[in-house]
Amino acid sequence: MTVPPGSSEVTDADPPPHPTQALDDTVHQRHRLGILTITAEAERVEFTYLRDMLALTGGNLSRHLAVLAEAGLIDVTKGYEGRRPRTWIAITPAGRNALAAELRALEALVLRHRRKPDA
Amino acid sequence: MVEFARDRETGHPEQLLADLTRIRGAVRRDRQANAFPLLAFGALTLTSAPLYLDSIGPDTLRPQYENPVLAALGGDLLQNSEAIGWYWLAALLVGYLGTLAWYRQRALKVGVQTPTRNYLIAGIFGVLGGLALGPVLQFLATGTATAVSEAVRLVFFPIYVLLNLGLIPVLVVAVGLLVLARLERSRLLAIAGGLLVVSLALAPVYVNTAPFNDDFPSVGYLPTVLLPALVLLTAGVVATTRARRTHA
Repeated sequence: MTVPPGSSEVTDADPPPHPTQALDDTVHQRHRLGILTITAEAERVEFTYLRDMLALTGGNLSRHLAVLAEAGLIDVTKGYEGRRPRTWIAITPAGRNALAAELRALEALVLRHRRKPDA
Repeated sequence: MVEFARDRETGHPEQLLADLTRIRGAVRRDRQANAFPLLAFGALTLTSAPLYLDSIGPDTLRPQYENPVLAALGGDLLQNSEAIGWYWLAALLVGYLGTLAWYRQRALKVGVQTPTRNYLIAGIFGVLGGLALGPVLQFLATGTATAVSEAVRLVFFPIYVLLNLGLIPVLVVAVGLLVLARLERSRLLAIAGGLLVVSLALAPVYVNTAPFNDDFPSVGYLPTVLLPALVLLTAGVVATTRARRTHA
């Protein structure tokens, strides 16, 4: 099969894209991946729980949360329980999709590595 | 999760995936709070036991009562059907709402909240379904074409038996626990829910094999609720022990 010049059509002869191409820079960062993994396991998670679980400083966690919130991957809700201020974090549907895609890409990388240890 | 937090680049994907699996397991352990629903429903089931004492005898010989619609959870053939119906209506509401309040309290304490919306939906549909079951099955079994009636009687016979024995509420509890097991990813809750269904399946066996024809046992239908109560309380004790060990 001949591909016309300038065509972007993928042919059988083209090698499959490397799994790293599916990695999303926003999600791939280790702690942000941790945040998405934890929030995906619950309806919502409190700021201090995330901070303790990931052993981050409050400032560092806030920066990661801001990146994820800006990308629409999490929702951050601030409020009070009695007098105590609480910040709850919940993953969005887009966040779940991004996490699933990231995990698929990582699994593909592992699979590729097992097949070709030099890859 | 110090290992996960170590300041390093993403590293080998295999290691990262293993870390994420570990962290996922830790979150699940932290948000599991299943001892309360097991113990609460176990206690509520045990408390209902005196209502299943029946000194009269085989229900088939007794005329059907015309119980209020809201007491329909107790069926209409046992001696205390109406009381059973009222008791379970209140008990299911207390149990489900108490469980939801418990999970909310637990979320505030630990900082991670289990999604309980589907459990609430299961509770609402369970109670409403239990109330509507009698009239709906009665209509399907008698007010429709012969073929439909026979099919309904055949397919829903086990449900009929549970309805007559006033055990539909325990089935509602079992369904709720299975939904909660899915939400919590809890094997213990799934096993408890499964055993509860098995214990309900044994109730008709007990009723049909006990020497009811000649000498109705003084305990009446008591064993049909004692076994589910035992299942729930045992699972509750196991859950409490596991929770204490995990958070020790």
